[in-house]
Amino acid sequence: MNKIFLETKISIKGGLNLKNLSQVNNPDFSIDEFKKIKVLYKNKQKNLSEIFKIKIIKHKQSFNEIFIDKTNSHFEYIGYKWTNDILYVKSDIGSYVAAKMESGKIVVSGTVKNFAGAEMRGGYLFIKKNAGKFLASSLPGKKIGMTGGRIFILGNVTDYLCYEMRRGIVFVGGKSGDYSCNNLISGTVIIGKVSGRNFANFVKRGTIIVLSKIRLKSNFSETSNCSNSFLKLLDNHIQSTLKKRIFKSNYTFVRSLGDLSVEGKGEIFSLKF
Amino acid sequence: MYNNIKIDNTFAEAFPMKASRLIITAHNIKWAREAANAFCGFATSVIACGCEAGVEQELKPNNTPDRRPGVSVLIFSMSSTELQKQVLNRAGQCIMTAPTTSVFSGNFSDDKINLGHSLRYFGDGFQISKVLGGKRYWRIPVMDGEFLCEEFAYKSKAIGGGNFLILGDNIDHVLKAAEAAALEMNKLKNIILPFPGGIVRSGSKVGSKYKSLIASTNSEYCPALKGIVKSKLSKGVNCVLEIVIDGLEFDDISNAMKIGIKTIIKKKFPGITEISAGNYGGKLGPHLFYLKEILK
Repeated sequence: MNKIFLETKISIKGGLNLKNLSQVNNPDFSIDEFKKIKVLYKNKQKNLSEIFKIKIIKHKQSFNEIFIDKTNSHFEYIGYKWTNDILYVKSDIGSYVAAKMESGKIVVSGTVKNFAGAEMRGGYLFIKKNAGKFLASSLPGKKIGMTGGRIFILGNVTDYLCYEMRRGIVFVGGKSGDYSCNNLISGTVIIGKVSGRNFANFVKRGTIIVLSKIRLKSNFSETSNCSNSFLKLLDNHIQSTLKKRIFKSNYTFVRSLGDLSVEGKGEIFSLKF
Repeated sequence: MYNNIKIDNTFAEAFPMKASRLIITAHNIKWAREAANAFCGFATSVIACGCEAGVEQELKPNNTPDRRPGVSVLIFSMSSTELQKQVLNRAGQCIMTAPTTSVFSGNFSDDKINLGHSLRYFGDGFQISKVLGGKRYWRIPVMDGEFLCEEFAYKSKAIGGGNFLILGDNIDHVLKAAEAAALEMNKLKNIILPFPGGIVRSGSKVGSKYKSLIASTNSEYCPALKGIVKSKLSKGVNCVLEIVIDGLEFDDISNAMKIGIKTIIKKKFPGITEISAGNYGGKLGPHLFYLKEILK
């Protein structure tokens, strides 16, 4: 397959929709057609080569590697329905990165805006800085959030983290904003600290691990934490990705079940006061 | 002759089996061992146990999926169906019942065996499923907390029935030699010695004068029958013990036999006169382990 390097050759000052870039994931896609991929820039259709300097190098691996440089927050829908290939984005990007992603890997060195990993079904999204609203949530007007895959964010996220999430793992190293984990159906969410309001409303099932102390509302009932083996397994899994241990040896978790107002059986692990 | 021990010009005959590896972890090594020993109980021979199982090795916390002390066990059976049944029953009755334990698959193949996939129903609707790294795990609530269990174990091709016989003048000498060999062989990976302490005294032959029996005593090697049957024992031999080896690959068994036999030769145990092997003229199985080739 190919190593593809994309570098913007014009200054991007309006919305750039890169949804069609994911055509490269199709094994039948001819690389000769790559330059002619249609993208929308300020709602006008353009060829990819009109926006980017493109360099293609063949390599022996069974997947493509795509490197995008000099991006900004106007770059949207990068990695939409992404499969198989690996995408590296070297700076900040806009909304909808990895939305409906199915497999493969996307690494973003900068910050992303809203709806990152929304309705993601599989694969791995790694964000080195912060993310905006509706991470791993459902897309506007939809009811089903992330249904598989892994999202790891080293920075903070803002509101509506994992809204209506169904399956998969989300790790947020920093803080989360308002309405985090609302309407969680299932899946696993690990958050460094919850700083916003209305955390974990209407949780049905799923696991939320907060790596700090948090006072939960009365719709969560404290129960025994007997999940030592599971927590260690999870820690091992995260360590294999991040190359560092997130559950420190002095952590003592409290386990609470809820949301009782919706007869939920979700669980929240948080550090003991 | 090696150190006055005769190595018979014969071969051990082994047969294809199906095998699976499970990793049992627990709060401490004692309970991982307890569960593993219960899991491997009554699993010496497929003749009447349905499977052959044994502890492969003990694992340190940094070598187990949940970073707790663990034990890896290997279980062998003649058919996929029987292996599936044995793994599930034994995991449910021997591992899930032991305090603090968890169970994970220790190998991977395309052939799955239901583990948590079936055991989860014990959770009566309170079980929780988690997918980590492409594998599904089940958390089943139990009275000491949670029983964590991987959804599937996996079965792969394996070989059972590798063996060698230790012939000597009396039980003291032969038992000592067999114990030393079993001790060294038990340190190896990918094999188990399924019999008690790794040693078997009731080696068998195929068939019997009684029609309902598929196996009966190996009369050619019974010292008590010398003189009344066509015996393979020379005059000074009054005791024979066998070490049976099940392994994942031909080379694993071959290497184990080599280490076992060489231990006996090297340590110059008194009274040991001969090393032989059990076979059925090549009719039982396709895997033949020639003693002289193994020792080269």
